[in-house]
Amino acid sequence: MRRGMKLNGLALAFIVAGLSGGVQAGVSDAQLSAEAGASWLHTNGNLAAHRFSTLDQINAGNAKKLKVAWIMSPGGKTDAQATPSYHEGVLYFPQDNKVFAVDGGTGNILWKYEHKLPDDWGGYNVPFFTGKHRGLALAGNNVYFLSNDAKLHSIDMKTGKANWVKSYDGFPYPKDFAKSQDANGFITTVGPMAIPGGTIIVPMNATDTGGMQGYVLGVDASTGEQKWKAPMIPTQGEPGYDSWPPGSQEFGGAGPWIVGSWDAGTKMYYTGTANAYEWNPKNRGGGKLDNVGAASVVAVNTDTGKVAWRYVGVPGDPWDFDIPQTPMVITIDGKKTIVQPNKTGYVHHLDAVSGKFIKADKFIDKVTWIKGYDKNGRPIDPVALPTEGGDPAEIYPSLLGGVNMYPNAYNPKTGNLYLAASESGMKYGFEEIKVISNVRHFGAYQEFLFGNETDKALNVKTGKEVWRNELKDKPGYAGGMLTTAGNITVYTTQGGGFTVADATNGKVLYSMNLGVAAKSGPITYSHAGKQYIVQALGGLPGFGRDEPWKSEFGSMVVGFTLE
Amino acid sequence: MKYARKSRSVVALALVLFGTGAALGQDLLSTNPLSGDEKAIKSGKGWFRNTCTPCHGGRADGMGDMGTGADLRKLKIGFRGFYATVKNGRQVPGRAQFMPSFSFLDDKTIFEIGAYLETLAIEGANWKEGVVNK
Repeated sequence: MRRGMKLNGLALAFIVAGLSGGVQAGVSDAQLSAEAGASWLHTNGNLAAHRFSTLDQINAGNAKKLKVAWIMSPGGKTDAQATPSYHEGVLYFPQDNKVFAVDGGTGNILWKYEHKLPDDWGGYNVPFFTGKHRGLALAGNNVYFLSNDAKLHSIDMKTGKANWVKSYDGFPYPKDFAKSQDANGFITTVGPMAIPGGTIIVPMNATDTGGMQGYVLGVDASTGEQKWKAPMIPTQGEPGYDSWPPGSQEFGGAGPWIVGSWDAGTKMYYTGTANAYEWNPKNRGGGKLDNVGAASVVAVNTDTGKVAWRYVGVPGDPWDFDIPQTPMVITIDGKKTIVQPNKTGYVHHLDAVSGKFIKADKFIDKVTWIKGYDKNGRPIDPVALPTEGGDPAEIYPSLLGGVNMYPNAYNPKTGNLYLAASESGMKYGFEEIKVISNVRHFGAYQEFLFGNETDKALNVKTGKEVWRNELKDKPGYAGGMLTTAGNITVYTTQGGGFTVADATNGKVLYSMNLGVAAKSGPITYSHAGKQYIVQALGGLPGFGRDEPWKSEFGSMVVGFTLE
Repeated sequence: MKYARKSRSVVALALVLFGTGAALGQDLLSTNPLSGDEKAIKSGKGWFRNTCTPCHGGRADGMGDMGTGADLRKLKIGFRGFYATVKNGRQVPGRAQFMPSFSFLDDKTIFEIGAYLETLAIEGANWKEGVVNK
């Protein structure tokens, strides 16, 4: 009798928990809103994109006792740029238009979902982008995956079978030049993001495949139906519309190509955007018009789909200095602040509500394209542009930027930002813009002047550098940053050097040569009572030649835990 | 059959023949008919800096912002190999990234790009007769 009453009580508890979204299988809104801890649900850890975990089982005092727990390979054929997600025992990550579900304790593949690209797939720069992804979204019992051809897939977490696959009007995929009169299209390498309230954020980017303008979509998580569509470039009547010559917006670029952040207080999705297109600015104001929305931070109200504000970080962007990096939402001195380290060599601080410029902290040693930002967030004394067909200009940083797509982190305990930074410059010039199959080409070129990979910590309030780990004669960027309540910061160098550093002083506590390029950020989670750190690796080091690293193409995912 | 470099009449003949389809696969040309032609080099530079630099970089050294293109300063496959690779593309086993076909470029444009690249050649490069890339 007493036992029966106990069971009934337990059953009631499960029913109540189920109704409140507490312990049922799948991902609840409450879990989506939490800090990263036992689970790692969002590409960048939490909605504010801090890449910070509350776990501290692995910490600065014991990190030297880390060991490899497991290694698996997804057989990747290009860079592994996706941060894996983890929930209830399973890791999920995309690669080469596939999604893998992997046991978090063993690395064993549980299921694989595969999407075939269309037969006429192709176009400008498309072979470079094909197969790359930057994350997934988890919500309810589903995994949300954006394939390269701008299709959103809802996949059952348990079975790996598709619930539905959606494409959206106005977002064609790019096509083989030889097979199409109009080869323009959207190639989605960015990951979707799940926010509370049953919305999946779907960024759409076509910037460097011909310049069709970028959008952010809000999609119903249950049905895949489009709720709203927010343009990154202002439409008529919005501020900044006249910062583009009439008609130039259509192929103006400004695609969101890195997953953004979200704040429950402002109800805004924050994203950086790509460069204005073409790279040669002659058709969009010659660098004299701001081209608002491109090379910008854009805030979208996710209740309405309306753009709340746009801040342009590189007015008239003539340098391919898009600023797509993930904006972090950080409360500084009581003010909710957008903090975005970006290609320009500066960390931009903006008011999260209004978009008003607060400050820009220089974080790399050499910046020559401007002398700083004024109090209104305008570049001071930009260098003169090269003439079309003339000699290139030499500027720092290069178009690869002070930071690039590799995600950064913020630790609220140390107050530091952790940056996957690099020193580099370039010679950059303009040429006549060629058009093939209606695809406008860059009309610009670059010759890189590579410097060193420099992984570093900056105090977010002061902007002062706290520590740096610089790799001499090794160009490129760490794959991304992770930081935890255990006072550690974890990154893997472009050449595959897995590194655990003291988050406070940068001292390297543990390192291992994994031998394969890292182009994604590490994550951490708790599985069966043990904390794991996982790093996906794949591709070749750098954007260009790999000689300085002396490593070959590879593809693997490695799990670490304590001895 | 040999062609004298910089001979306008021969260049014209070659272009006519290429234009009529008597080109690839028939071993017609082993060197670039526009090699050394200043006007062609200038035009080829413009094309190269639009269609090729994303992968091959502004110096043609393979340091593109879109990744690992071949170092064209050290081109080993000869003019015919170059032409065939531009026309047909080249798959890289085990990789998603590959050299796409640029079959939509006309022969004159490909010759112009080749003429420009020849000016960037470094020791060991081969712009003469070479194997046709399969």
